[in-house]
Amino acid sequence: MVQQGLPLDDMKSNTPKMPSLDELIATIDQETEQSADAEAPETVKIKPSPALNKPGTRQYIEFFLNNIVLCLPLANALEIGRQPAITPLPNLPPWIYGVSNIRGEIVSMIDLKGFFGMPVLPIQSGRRFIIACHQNMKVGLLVDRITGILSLNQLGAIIQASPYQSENSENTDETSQMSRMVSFITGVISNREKLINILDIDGLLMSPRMNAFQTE
Amino acid sequence: MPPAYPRAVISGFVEEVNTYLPTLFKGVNSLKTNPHQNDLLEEVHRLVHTIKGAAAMLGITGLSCIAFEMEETLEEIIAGKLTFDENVFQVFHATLKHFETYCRDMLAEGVNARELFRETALTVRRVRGLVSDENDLTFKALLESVPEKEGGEQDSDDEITMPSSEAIVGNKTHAADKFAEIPDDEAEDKMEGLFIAPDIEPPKPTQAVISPEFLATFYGEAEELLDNLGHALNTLDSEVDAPMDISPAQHENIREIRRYVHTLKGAAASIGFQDCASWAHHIEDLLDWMYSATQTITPQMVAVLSESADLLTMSVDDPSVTHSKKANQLKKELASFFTSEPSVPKKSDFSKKSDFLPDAHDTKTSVSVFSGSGKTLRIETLRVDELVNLVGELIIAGSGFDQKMELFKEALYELELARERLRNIARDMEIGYEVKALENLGTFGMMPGSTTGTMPGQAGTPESLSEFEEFDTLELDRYSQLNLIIRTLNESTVDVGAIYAQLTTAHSDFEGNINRQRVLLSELQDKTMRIRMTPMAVISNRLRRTIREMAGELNKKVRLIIEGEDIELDRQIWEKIIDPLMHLLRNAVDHGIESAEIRKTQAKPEIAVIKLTASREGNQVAIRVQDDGAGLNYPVIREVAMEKKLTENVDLMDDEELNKFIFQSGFSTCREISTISGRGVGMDVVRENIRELKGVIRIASEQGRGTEFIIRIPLTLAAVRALLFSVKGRILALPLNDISEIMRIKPDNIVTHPQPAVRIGDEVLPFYYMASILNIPEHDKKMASPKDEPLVLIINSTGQRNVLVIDHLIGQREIVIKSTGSHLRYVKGISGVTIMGDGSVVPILNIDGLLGTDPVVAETVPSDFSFLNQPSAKSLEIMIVDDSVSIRQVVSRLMEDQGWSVQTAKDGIDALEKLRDLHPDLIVLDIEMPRMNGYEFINALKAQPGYGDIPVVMLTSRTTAKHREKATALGVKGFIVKPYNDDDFINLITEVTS
Repeated sequence: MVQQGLPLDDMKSNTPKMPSLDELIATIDQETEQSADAEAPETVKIKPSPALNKPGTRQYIEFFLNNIVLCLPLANALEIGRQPAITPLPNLPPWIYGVSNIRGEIVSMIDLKGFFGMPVLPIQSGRRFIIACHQNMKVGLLVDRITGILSLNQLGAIIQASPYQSENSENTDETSQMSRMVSFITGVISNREKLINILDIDGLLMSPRMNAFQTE
Repeated sequence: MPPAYPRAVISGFVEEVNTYLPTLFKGVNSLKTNPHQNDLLEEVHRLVHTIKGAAAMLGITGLSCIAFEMEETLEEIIAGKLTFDENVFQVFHATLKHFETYCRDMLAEGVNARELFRETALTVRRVRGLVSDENDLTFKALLESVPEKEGGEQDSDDEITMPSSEAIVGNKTHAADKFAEIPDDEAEDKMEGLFIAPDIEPPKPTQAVISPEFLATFYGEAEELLDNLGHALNTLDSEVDAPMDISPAQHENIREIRRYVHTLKGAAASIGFQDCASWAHHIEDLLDWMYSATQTITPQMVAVLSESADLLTMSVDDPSVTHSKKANQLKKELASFFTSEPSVPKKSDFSKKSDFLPDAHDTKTSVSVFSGSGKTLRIETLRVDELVNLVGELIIAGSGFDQKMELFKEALYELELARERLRNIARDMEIGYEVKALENLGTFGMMPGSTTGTMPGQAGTPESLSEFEEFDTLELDRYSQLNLIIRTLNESTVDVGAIYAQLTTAHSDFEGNINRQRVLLSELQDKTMRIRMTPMAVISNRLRRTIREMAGELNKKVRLIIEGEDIELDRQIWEKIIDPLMHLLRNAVDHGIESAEIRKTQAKPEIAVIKLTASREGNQVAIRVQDDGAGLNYPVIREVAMEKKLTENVDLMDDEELNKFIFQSGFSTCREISTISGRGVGMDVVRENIRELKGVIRIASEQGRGTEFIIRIPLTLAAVRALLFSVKGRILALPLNDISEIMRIKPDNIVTHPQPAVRIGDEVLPFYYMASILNIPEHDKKMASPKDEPLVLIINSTGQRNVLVIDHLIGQREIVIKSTGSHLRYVKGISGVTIMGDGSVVPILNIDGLLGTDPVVAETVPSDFSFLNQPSAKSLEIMIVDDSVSIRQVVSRLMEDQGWSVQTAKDGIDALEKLRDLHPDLIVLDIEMPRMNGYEFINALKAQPGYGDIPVVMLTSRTTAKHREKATALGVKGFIVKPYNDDDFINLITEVTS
């Protein structure tokens, strides 16, 4: 046992399917042309890269929910990292796992899958979070894995309008779970046989379901 | 242009305005295209405000007034009451043009100030939807305060005006001390003369001579004096409800009031606020007379005094009020007391003291609160907040120590054990060696020279041995290698013992230091919190004035009694709560209290009483607003509710249920809208404000007897002492204030039907399981409480005691309350979270919210979430039993990374002991352990009722089939071999527990 080292390291070596956090950091570093602090690999603070200000360059964080590829604008993400310890709170819907201490700040952690109506799984390790923000609101979104950063002009890809039909009727049926997600997708990027859905993070964070906890 | 300012100052000002103008024009133009730029709005607002302030300081009244109009409009836009449309743009553009005009002409030919102002004011008012009637009295007065013409070469004018104003200035500088000597008629005539003269600057120029620092000092002083004055008057007011002889205490009080007024008069005169000073002088006359000449005091006198004091307050900000009609009337009233002695008191219905009246004792204490105010320092609240936050961080950092000290202590304990073991081994070895040596002794004589073979581990050479052959082993110790090792071992044992002793001393020293620090910290925290706390007295004067004004307007006789002025709350809370309170008071005067005639027919005292009481109740402050008026008109409320079709079955609701309607927006029982009330906004705003403070409002009303509003505001201190406990492995905190008792209860006392309840002493209290209230998923359906006597907290919730079952106590700790983040502003049953020293987050429970006893909290969880009702995340509780510390640590870490909670035990016996208080979901077990090995432990576990079904996973380095079979035979659910693969291990555990 002992020669296996600490479990944290094990996770990396034993789960090659997940991109290691260091790789991810490296990617982001490349993008942002800034050196990250090698000492603190638990979370990565995202600073807007100068490239962002250039017109025509839009950057997105790409991630997976089950096998669906999604991305959200880098400008909306403050921080990414390995799923932190989560303290559950009572009287919340199951898709809100609870709150976490992200460097002294309390941030709620949300199971994005649960929010979209996919089955809510018990808190499990190895997932990643993205702290998304809209105005003053910060929410930690738990996703299955983060695969990297997309720069649109690099890809030469074009954003198309969302091809999905959103159902207006709020159907609580299992089959309508896709439509629940569809209503938060603003467009798609098709790229090398992959279809990347762009998540409307503003719409998501402003949605009434998300904001049901702003007041009583 | 005020003569006191040289052209250089004015031109400096003009330059300043000139630098702002481009920004302003640009800003306004940009806002025209996109009105939703809040930052820009703020910026424009700031600049306009600066111009206004500077202009006023320099006495350029016209410009300051124009800027003020623009500023007000901007404020409305920022507040969202007004939209930035084309009209607004036009007005702003014109206003900015006026600014330009001022800049251009101020130093040249002068500006037609009044004309410009009239134009601006009228257009602005039109845009803001206000009355823009030029003939409106207040408007006229405002207009008149602006001189016809400002700026320009006024040298000739100055020649004329200077002498008179200088005379005043001259007077004033000497006035402070010998004000009374100046015949006030004369002084006043002069001033009034000055004031009415239309084309000359109002007495402002004189005040302009004073530097801003002096002004600030004066305002600070005046505020304090007026506050004290207000309180002294209130004391008098509450004591005098009928004409009576002046008691010595009252005499003293009058003297005090006189002193305040006198000081203020002196200060005002020295600063050049002549009107204010002369008004104060009038009041002083009456006070002198009351102090020395008269023997009786009447409510009228006090009333006139109060009103005069109000006027004095206003005159500090706006000296012109001392010339208003009201002032003149008051002057007459003041004077009338000198001439006509009030009639001898008749003990009529005045003597019917209402039961609301406080006794003299209370008023005494309330006065003493304010007399204690010493020297004060004004600091920005931001700085205080920073301090409070820092202290909070300190406490968090301090609690980190607490946790580490626990570890330290444990390590020490382990060290002691290790030392003990070491010593035993060393002793055993030594004894063993000596025994062997003695054994050798027996054979020594028979087999000389062969000792090397039998001496255990002896590496000495036969030659060296032979040198000492004549010695017996008892006569001479022979130092073999082993012997030396044993000695070193002994020495090491002693060393370890010494280190242990040192560390123990260090530990107790540390503990002492930490304890001292903790005491100091909590004191520091207490003190920093106190900084922000202010007594209710800071707002009570404003409330009193409101009541007086309202009562005057409605022609009702109302006395406001305020109790508990020394109750302290955060200043911000008072500021938030003053609006609701004012509203409640206004409502009470307007709706609650009947007109004098009706009161007479109902045999109620002529003077109605409204009582405002603040008191501390646990960790809440309760503020009661009671009136002895008509009470809520339930029939009308019912009628209106039915009319508006608010809910069904209105006719079935009882009065209590009807109460909630009056908090609804747009609900008003008033058929007419008046300036005071009737719009139906108000009570909902009251509720909103109170809700923001996480408070609760309740109503009690009795027809004909009165209404009572009870507001309860939690003391939102940033830190509280809280009890930490765990429920199903989750750590939770509850403020100590909420807890009245912690105890174990006997199962015989628990009643399950019809509702869970428990008997404690003579009481029967409702009984809840914390786990089920918090919806913590139960792994074990049969709430198998480890002990048959569950541990409970007895909770004081609003007016009700409840019993809550918890699992384990962790201890009490000073915790810093943090919000639940920007997303979850409100979580039912949670008042916040706290961060522990190790960075973990612990929720702080709000019992009222949890038990649903909080009436302000309506149904919260949106109902359309039913589709999400799937089993939520579960956290396992795992016990690790292993004799190796490192294995325990490594496995714990792995488990904790899964979000599971972990308990550890050193061996079977330890585990069994710990299991008395625990009921883990799974046990990870080693086979070889001291005292009780794994197999024995399983057998023992099986023997315990309720524990046999806990799944056990063996974690061992024994790989043979024999060990495995034995384990399986004992019913072990899983078998994992060290070293293990993390994923396999986790998978196995998930499999076994699912």
